[in-house]
Amino acid sequence: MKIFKYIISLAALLSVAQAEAQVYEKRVRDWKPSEFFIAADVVGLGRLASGDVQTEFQAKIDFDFYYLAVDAGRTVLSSSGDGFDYSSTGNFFRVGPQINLIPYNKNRNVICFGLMYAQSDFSDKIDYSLTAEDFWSEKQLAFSNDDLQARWLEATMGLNVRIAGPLYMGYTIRFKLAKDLDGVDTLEPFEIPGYGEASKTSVFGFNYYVIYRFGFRKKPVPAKPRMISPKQSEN
Amino acid sequence: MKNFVLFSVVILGSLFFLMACQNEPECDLERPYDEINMGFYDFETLEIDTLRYDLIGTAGTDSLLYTSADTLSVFTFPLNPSADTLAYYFVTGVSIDTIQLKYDRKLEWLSERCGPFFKYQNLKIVYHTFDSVSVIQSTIDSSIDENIQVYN
Repeated sequence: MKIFKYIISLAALLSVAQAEAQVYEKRVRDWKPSEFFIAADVVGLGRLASGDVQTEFQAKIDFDFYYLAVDAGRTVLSSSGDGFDYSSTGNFFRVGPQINLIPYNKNRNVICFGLMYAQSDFSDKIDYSLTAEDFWSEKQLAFSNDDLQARWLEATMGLNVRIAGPLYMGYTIRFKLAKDLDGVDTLEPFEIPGYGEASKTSVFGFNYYVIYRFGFRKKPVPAKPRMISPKQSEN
Repeated sequence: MKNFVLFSVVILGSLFFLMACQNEPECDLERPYDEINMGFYDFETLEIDTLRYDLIGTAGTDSLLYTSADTLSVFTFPLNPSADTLAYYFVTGVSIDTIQLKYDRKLEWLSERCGPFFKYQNLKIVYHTFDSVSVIQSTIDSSIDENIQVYN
């Protein structure tokens, strides 16, 4: 049993020594942008069936292994039911950095993690009926919020895959949090454009993108850094 | 490419499944509570009192809240969705007492299908003609036994 312990300790020591003896080859950073992506979200098209409109686009540009992404979109929704007729209109944008987690992929596919700041400006209104079933006399009420503003943060994880030529497809899963909503009067909004259900403090979002890549200079796919000794690294 | 298509189908399928599984609330059962409870006490003994008014009414409706057929210690009153203040009138053969209340109201969504309902909170007394009135609980909820105590 003691011998077994010595063998494990020796192996651990050797692995530490090995790790200390070798470092990754220093990579030359390339901060000059080389490609620009324009993406259109297709998930929002599903809402057309119910008469709502949700359009969303994304643009991003590369800096070394990083991207700067900007999203913009518009939502027009209406909802009616027993005693209410609601509508909401607004725009939103998001901006933030992303890091490519697979920069050495030969097909230029991308898995990226990002953080974004998002803001939405919108308005909504409702016609609300008090029915004869209520204690109060039958009455038509109207409420509106003309100048609503919401801000929130997003952590995103996305995947883009090259389909053919400059055409890519991909999706992004978003965790939206730290929502702050200003300008609410009596009527609580149902949905915040770009965020989702207004009553929730955090939500998940999903976008499915059709993407077009504009490459404006040749940038070879970088080779994976090799493990080298510290002496080689100094040279 | 093949893997991506397969992965996409799995992700999309899972999302649609999750969306389909979202719990839809029972519209009538889960609507916010919109009434307050007022308990009546004897001003001298501070004991809960049992009272009967000829009628109790309020503006904004033709209906009476209570008549002389109702003998109670705790009266339940509805809040008015079309105003932030309201007054209740307590009428006997020899007197009319009034209590005017103020509250915050929000039109909050239960779900897209059920629509929004009024939620009330932060109950306050604006004016009254009783000997003494105090708000015991300003939250408006079905679990509250008494929001206001009236001493008369």
